[in-house]
Amino acid sequence: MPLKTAQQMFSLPGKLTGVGIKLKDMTQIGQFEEDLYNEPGIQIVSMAQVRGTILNLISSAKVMANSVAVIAIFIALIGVVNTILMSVFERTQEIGVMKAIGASRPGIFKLIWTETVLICTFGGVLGNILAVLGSGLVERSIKMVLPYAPSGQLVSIKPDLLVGAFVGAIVLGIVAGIYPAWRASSMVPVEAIRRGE
Amino acid sequence: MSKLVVKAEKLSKTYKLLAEEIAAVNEVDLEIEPGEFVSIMGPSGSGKTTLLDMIGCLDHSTSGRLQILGEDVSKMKESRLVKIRRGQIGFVFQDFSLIPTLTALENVQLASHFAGMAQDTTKSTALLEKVGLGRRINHLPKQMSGGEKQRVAIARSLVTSPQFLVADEPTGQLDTKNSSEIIGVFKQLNDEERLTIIVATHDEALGRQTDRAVYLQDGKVVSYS
Repeated sequence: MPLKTAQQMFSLPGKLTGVGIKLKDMTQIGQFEEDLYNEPGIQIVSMAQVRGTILNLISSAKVMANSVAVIAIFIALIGVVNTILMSVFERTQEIGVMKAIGASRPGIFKLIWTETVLICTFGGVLGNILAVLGSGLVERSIKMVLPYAPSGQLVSIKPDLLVGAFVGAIVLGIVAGIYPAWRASSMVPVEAIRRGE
Repeated sequence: MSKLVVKAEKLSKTYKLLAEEIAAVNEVDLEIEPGEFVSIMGPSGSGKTTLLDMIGCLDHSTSGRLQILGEDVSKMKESRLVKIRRGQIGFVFQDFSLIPTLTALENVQLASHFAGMAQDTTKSTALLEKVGLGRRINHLPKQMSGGEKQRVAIARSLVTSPQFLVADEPTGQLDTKNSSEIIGVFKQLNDEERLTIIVATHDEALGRQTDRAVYLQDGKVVSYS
């Protein structure tokens, strides 16, 4: 059937380019597709193919999102190590004085380590709050951009994800704090005091 | 007879600068009795601070022998030195070295915390009152004058009830009025409590108030008075 004839049949001249067909007996779908494949000028796309394509896209998106998350975690780890290390260097004299007045090596290690874990825990709480608040904004933005967005909820943050992110932030703090804490605790008091002057 | 607070025998500290060896302290012999108020004097670079760092168990000697309260600390490990520092020695630094985010009271309590002592607010407050800062206990260092900061540092150095104080240029950043007040605090501690005090200084006014002065030049003791 020529395209123009089909457009006239459905009273949609110049607009109709595809027709959806629903079978009463779904077991016949394979045979129906086979029959239509032989018709010239018609392209057949079954829902199974559409679903497969969407699932492929979703799994690719998941791999992408996970890769971005891993890279983000790595960058966050480097960022936290760098920030705490800078803070340790800025407080070199303070650490030297603490050692002079009696702070032990494990005491200084514990101090810096605890500080890092507390900062990361606070970051985890703040991140979760921002994620929950930001998800509504992201959802609205997607729906504005996508022409045929589904009516249901697109972005959903489940409680286990929030708990995972929070625990992840604490673990990140525990790992990231080790090196700066070790550097601080290894400072020789007299050198630390003089370096800070 | 009670133990000497400090006994140094041919105590030396050398630093390597490229291929050259520089002797900051060169074969110093020194004995300090309990209850003495001693000043270590000399021009800049004479080795006063280096000698004081070794006496304060903050640094090791390169050679010679150093006994603090009868214990040989010359080759002692850092973990043992920490225990001596926190229990036996009080420190006062030229730049006060207070923790800027802590109040006067908290700065004093910090030393007792590191010494593993119970957080005794009464003792810390009493020490701040003793140095004339009873009304400033909840002030931050940035809200205090140089003299007041140095008084907090003195109170901090006393909170662990040390056997002796070491003070490195304690009046170095103070004006004449504040200097004489700080000297007065040291003198009072020495006179009333027989606390041994060792100060490194070029402040002649402070030197005159001490029982005796040890003069250093190029790392060597050139005279005792």
